[in-house]
Amino acid sequence: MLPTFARRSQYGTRNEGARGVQPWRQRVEYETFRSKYAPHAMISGAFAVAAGTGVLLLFDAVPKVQRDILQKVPIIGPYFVHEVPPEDNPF
Amino acid sequence: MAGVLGGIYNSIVKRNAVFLTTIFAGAFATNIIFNIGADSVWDQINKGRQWKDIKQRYMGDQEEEDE
Repeated sequence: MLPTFARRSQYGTRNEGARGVQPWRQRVEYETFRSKYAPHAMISGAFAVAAGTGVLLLFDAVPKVQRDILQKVPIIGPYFVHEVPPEDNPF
Repeated sequence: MAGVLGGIYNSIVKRNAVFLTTIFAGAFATNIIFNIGADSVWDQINKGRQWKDIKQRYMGDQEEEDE
């Protein structure tokens, strides 16, 4: 499928219902991009990002996750660095 | 109010993937911010009574017999 960004008109949908047409019943006025690799490649990618964020949320206390992933995030990276001064270190 | 809610709906709620990402990232950020805030409140209430405050008094003894 070729990628499209065509405009679709709202003809005939404006004046239904008591207070006009509800947002979920309005025709979406654009066609979203459809990849030729899979019908839902963009949506799957977006859900993969959401799933990755959820996994990081659930596993943010695991030291390996902290060392490998969370410390490399730009702004909140230093929050996950737990440095003990050598005089306080029991090991 | 209706415009703000409509804007929030159109930008965040309409696509479930974006909605989930916003929820998870918001929970992550809330966790971090709450932890930083609670730590600072605790340190403020217990100022001068924690080890990190009184550590300086005991730093001179470099020779320690029993660790």
